[in-house]
Amino acid sequence: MVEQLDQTSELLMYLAGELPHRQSMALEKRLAADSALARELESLRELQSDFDSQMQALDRKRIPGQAMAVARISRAMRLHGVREEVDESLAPRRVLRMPAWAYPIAAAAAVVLVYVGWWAHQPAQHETSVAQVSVPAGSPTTARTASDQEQVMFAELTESFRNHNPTQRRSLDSLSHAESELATLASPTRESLDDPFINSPILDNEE
Amino acid sequence: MPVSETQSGTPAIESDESLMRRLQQGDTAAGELLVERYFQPLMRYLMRLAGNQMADELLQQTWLSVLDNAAKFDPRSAGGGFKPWLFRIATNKVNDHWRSRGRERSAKEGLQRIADDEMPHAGFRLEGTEQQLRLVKAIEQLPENQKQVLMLRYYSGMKFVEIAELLGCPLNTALGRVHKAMIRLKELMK
Repeated sequence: MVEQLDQTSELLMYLAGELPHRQSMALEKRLAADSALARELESLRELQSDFDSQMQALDRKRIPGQAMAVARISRAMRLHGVREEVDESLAPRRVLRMPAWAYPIAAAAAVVLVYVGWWAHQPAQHETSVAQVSVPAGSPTTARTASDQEQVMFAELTESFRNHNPTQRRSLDSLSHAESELATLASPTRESLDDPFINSPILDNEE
Repeated sequence: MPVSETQSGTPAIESDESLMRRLQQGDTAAGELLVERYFQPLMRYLMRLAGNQMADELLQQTWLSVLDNAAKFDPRSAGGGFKPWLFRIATNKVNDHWRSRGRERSAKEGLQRIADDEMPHAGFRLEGTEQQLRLVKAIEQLPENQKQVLMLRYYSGMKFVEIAELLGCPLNTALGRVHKAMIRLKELMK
């Protein structure tokens, strides 16, 4: 179906034989019924015919030099084709070992592997947080390394004593009592024992 | 004309599509035959639109573009076959030429173009009679868009729908331009 045409355009299409069949049939019915429309069609037919005949007369004379022009263009076409072949043969050929789509996937996989490797070698969270525990200054217990769990425990216990945690104090009291008895049995002096709780100034003060 | 003998002895002309198939396979002789076959209408079309001097260059550019795009030519998809396809390429070359030179015709170019038309092209004058000379000048005076549609229609034989599609305008517009151009020519020829 041709787009909606104005009357003149429709008549021109009809004259050219390019109007769809259904539209053509409908137009012919209208032409039969409308004399003004029929006159306009004839006017257009005459206009078209005059133009065609004038152009045919204008072009009756052949353009000279056709043979030379054809030879020149043909030579240009042959050279053009040869030039393209030379350009293609000289251009370095990139040969991909893998399909083109595989390269970005491989790059993404490499990035993922690097990240996984970096993540696996990161220090553990609890070790990191342990290293960040604040230890009071001057305390006999000092967390020298993050992985030193014993020292961390000492630091926590010391801190709890400073904060007067009764629960921990009682358990440590009994522990220290047991240790002191052992020390007495094992050694004549308590000072040889390197036990921070026994030597704790807090305990000493409490006693 | 490329001919081959049929069984009855009458020469059979090789079709455009057949020559294009040969050209696609690298047979430059087939291209030469096509150039020869369409030299007259194509050259005239380019002369009407771009003037005698540019017509030579545009003709060569058109055929080189045909060579570059030969692989893309498909008679089943190319509406109307080889001839409309060829004139589409030529029309694009003319439009490129107009764009590169600018749409405004300087007084110098206008005079130059008139002089070109009066001077013989390669020692030959196409317009033999005064009437024909008047027609040429009348065509030149048409607005470019009207001239292009009218000449394209006449020389290429393309359908109006194809012309409208090529020029990127509605069908009504293309038909309107043809109508106005023919009326204007009639007035100028009186």
